[in-house]
Amino acid sequence: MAQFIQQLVNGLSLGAIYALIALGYTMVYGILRLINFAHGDVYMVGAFVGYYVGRVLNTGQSGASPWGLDFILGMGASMLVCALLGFVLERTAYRPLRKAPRLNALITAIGISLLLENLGQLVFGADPKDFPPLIARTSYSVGNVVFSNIQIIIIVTSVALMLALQYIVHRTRMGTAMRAVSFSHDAAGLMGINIHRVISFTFVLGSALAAAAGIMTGLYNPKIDPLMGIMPGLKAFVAAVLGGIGNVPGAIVGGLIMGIAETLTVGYLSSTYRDAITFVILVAVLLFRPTGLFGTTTHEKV
Amino acid sequence: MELAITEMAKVTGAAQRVLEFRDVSLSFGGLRAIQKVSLYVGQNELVGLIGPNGAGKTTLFNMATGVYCPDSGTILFQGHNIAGMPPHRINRLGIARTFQNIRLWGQMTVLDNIRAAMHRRAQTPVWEIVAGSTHSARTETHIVELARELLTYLDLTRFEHELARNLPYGEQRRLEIARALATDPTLILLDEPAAGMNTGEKVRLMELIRRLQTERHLTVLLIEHDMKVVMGICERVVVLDHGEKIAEGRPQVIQRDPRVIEAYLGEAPPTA
Amino acid sequence: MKSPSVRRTFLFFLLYVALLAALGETVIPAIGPYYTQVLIFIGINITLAVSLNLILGFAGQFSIGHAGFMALGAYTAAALSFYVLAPMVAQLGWIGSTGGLALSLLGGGVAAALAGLMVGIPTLRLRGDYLAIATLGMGEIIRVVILNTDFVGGARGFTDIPRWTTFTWVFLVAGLCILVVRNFISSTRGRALVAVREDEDAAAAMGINTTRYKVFAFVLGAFFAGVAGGLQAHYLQYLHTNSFTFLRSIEIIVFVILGGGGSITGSVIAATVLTILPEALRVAQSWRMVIYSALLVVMMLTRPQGLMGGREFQWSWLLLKWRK
Repeated sequence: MAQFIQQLVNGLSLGAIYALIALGYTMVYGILRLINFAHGDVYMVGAFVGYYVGRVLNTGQSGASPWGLDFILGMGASMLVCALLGFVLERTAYRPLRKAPRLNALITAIGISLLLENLGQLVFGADPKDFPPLIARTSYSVGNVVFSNIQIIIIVTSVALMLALQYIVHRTRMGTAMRAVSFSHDAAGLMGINIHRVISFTFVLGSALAAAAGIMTGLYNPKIDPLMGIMPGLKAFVAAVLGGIGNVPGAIVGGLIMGIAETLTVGYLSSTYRDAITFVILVAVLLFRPTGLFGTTTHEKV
Repeated sequence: MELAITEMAKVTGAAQRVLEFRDVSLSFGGLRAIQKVSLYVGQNELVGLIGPNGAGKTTLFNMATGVYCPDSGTILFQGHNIAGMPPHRINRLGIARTFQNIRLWGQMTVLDNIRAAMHRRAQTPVWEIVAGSTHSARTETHIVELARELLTYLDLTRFEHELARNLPYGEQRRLEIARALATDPTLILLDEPAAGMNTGEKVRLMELIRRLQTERHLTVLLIEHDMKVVMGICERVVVLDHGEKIAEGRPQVIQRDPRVIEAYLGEAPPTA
Repeated sequence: MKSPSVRRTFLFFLLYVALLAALGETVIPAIGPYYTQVLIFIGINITLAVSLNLILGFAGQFSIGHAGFMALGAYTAAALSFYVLAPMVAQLGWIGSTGGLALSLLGGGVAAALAGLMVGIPTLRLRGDYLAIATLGMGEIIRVVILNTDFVGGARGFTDIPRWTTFTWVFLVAGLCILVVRNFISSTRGRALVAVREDEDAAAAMGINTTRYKVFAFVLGAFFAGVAGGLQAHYLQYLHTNSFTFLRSIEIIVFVILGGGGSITGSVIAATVLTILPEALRVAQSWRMVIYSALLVVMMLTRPQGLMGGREFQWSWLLLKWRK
């Protein structure tokens, strides 16, 4: 039983990270009907920004500063850089293709993803780096269940970010605009909404969340490398599909399910199937409920 | 005695109803698109389906061609219940259609658009096609001949090798009709074929549709907004409004029906 | 001009193979193993590109897991040769290797075709991006399953596959693939397949069983990808799932996109150029993928229709050049 709870705790923190990444996928898909393949690589960039911030602040040598300053600086810098990255990507690569056939946009997204990965290997170096402990790690135990302060921070930060997102989406004008644009570009445009700005904002938001996820992954799993975004990116995407792509709460639920499923599989089956469970879930969803748990089918006008 | 019965059958149209909707209803979520609509098209008739925008006319077409499945009621085609059948099977049975917004196969040539629609005539096994057998070559030549005949019938011959998307608008509409004809239908559903045409084109279109009825013995159901076209060629008109049938009868009668006029008063009066 | 017939096609193809064999005996040994290898990879890539073009370019299906079909074909063919055929034909010299390869390639192709069938059937319900993800997932699943299958080497790889692939074989397969795809696509039923790509709902309304046509494209495309995989297996004599990742699928997609979807000529040119280029630019090896991906993005932004823009090479073009 304690094992099970342990797995759940691990799964929750992993799932929180997936959820943050999945939010980016789902928002972009909702607004552009585009699978942003490069999203996982933005997450990777986020982790690397944290790495370099840690280097600059000398966290490796002198340890994390009190009040979690390193962590805050790392998060802030990372979210800023990735927000910018997302903005640039959208402007240069995706905006020109908004009216193009879907296949073109998909191929472009794949291209950007590869570009980021391979540039990352060239610029950062292909070998794994040690992520600086922006927050000193301590463990606690309740009974037989062990968890670390990092996990708590992950869950707390994720919840905070998700609440912030909910607030933005449902209680601000921009959020309403986002929802309108995801419903219909033309209708939203006719209502005076600046589509370009809304789409850029969505990318910026999603990228910032991915950056946060990157930092927290770095804290949780200190080895980072330029290809680290591939699997989590895919898993988060499956999470978004599971929850119903385009659906924000769905992405969160999907992420949590993916995280828990993964840790349970590793814990009770074998670690070789860690990645396989992702594909099993993907195929199951696509075959039995392609619209996901919370998705709705849209009727195409003939 | 037999003669009297056949005459009776012609009057009631019962024996020769090619397409019949019986108490058909369809909702999209909370929106009731079609409510208990019953109508029929008789053998070799040219019937018009009119009504303000959003009345559900194209939705009826979509149900008849298998795009949507009605929530209740039956749709009979030559006696078969076709409600819920997949579109390609319905076409096989003998219903062809054109689309409100033109949906040609743009990157293919005009000739290839017709050839593709004639796929059912090309049932040679794939290995024969690939190996270039005499039989498959002959089938291909035959299909090209038939396709060219159809293009001549619709005055599209000079565009044969043009990409469909490069065609002028009026020609695109004619190509859609040609493509539908290529599937060898008994019933043809035309969705606003005159939309966007100038007067001259409309006159030629009206003639064409009439010829489809007389020369090719087709049954025609036509959605149209242009009253001149409707008045000009339709033998009978059915009027839809907000998903319900509100009137039916000869065009001249319908045009003066107060309910019809009121339905249209919400928008611009029908172009007369 | 004699009338078309199966016999005529067969004779022309036989002539083509004879020509290949002649080249194989004379020119190939003369140019040395390095250039031979490049040529062989060109041939394999042509087959891969044309087979994917059938699915992606002509049928318009977002299939991005093509390497999975290749992997399945490669491993099946290798297993057939290693465990069954090689011992059987050990004493038969070149007849043995030719016949053995033919059978094992067939086996690989059929295995891949079955996978194509399984991937094609969900196309009934999935379109566009969803289908892309499904094919990506399928490709990865195939790879992971192979990785965990011990009797084909698993994580260690499959070694000691007999070297049966020759220049002649590679271009025989490439030629066959081109012939099959070209003849089918230009036929009426091939036009129906393209109609599905252009507007699937209209195609259904014209009586085309869209699912059947899409599945057919997947099955045929997968078959040739599998055969290509088998050829690679019997050339490198070694297989590892690392050669069949999503990255490989991307490489094949680049061939198709660069050459232009819906153009066999384009695929042939792109596959040839992109096989030679990395060899020619050996120095910039680490930049290779960066260039590839940048190329992809730039192409999509500037000339998405590819080199040939969906058109095929016409012999009449040569005449026009002549006249000028």
